[in-house]
Amino acid sequence: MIQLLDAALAYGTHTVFSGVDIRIERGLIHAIIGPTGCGKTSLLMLMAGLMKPAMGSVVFDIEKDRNHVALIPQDYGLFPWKTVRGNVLMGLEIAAARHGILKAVPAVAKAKVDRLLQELRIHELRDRWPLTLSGGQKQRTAIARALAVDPVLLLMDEPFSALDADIREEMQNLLMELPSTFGATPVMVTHDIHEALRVADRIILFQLKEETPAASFTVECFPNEKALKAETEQKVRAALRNARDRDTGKDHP
Amino acid sequence: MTVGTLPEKTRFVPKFFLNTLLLAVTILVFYQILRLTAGPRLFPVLPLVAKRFLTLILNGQLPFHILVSARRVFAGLFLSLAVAIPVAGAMSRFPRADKILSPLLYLVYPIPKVTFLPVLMLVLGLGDASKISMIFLIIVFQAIVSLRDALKALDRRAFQAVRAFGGGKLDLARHVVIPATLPALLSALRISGGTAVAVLFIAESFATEDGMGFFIMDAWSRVSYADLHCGVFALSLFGLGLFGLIDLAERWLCPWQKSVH
Repeated sequence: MIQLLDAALAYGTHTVFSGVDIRIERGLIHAIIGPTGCGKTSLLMLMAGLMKPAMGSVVFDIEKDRNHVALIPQDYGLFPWKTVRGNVLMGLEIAAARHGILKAVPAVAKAKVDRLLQELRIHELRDRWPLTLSGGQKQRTAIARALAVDPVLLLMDEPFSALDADIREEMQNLLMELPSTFGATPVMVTHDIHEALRVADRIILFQLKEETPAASFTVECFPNEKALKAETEQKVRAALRNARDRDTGKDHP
Repeated sequence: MTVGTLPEKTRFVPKFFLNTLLLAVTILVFYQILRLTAGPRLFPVLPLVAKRFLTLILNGQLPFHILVSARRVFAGLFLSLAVAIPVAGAMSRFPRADKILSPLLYLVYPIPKVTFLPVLMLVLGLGDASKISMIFLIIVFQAIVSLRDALKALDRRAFQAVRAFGGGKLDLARHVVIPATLPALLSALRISGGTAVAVLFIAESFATEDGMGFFIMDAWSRVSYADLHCGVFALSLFGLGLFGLIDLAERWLCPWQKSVH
């Protein structure tokens, strides 16, 4: 669906990562995992088109998919000055404004938003302000806002890190339904290995390399096969341990 | 049904009347204390003042002077916003503009603007221009500082959220910049609005024949203390109306603010 080819990202003269090759497959849930500060969030920005690669390229199999990418930031990015429904409508309002700044969102799109609110069980919260919502309700609103624009690629930055354990599991289940129910391919950044193993079809381990500022390799994960799951967990843990040891200057064989 | 379970709208009306009643009683008590201490000549009996107030309203004198003052306040307010919005926008957007304008702003901002009144009257004359400019000077600096700081404090991630949906500059203004900075702007108006009315009173007490400042000073020079108190009361009502309008604007334009507090 989307491929990063030898991609590098830099803020001015500071290189965040380089030589990154990643492929995201349509319909699979991807989890990006890696040590702190390796540029996982920047990777999402790159895929969302909010940043340009300093080198390499971001290629979509179907070029028009580039305009159907939605991003849910770590703090959900809800606007406190918009109601739940107002937040969910925003993407559609921006789309309507392309045909004239005061162009209203079509009634059909509004009806779709109401349906979406019902499907995500936040319809009764539609007139509430985000600051009055719980973490799970905010997360559902953010997902509804992203899904309202029919994204093919849904990028999520640490989507469940601020949630209580029971809500987190509920939201993880919702995430797992996204490809089949809404046709969106989720890519989430997480620091929780267990979450990645539970939810993802594929784990992308973002691993710092010795010789270059950063690079990555991917590890396949099959949540339903226990033997492979354990093997993957070992691989991921070893890689993260190596990264941590290198950061602290500890030698290891 | 207990009071605690009444819907908010039903409770609002008696609460409003109770507050107004409390305010009226406080004013009356305060007036009576002043009457007892300063003497009945300076503070005539209340029914007389109330009757005079009604007469001045009905014969159009007070409404005329209030409207003149209101015109000056709103003209100054409008001018201030017309200048403050683009200047604050430029200062937050371009660091160079901020570097050049900030020292000037900090130099003039702390000076009590009433000290400019003689110069303004000399340059712009004794008419509306000097009075409106006075109000403009009081409000504009407060508005620039508040707006610039609110713009600088905008969370860049909010911009990303709009840009992620393919939004451009107009979308950023509509969905982020305007709603996020409106509370700061209204707050600045609330703070400087009171000072503006107070200084307008001083400005209107020199070489002019209209406005609330003139009315009060004229009553004082005519030794008409009932008119004087009527003028002070009308000026207070004018201030109350101004703050009420700003509160109303906040409720209408920033309804989410109640969830913030």
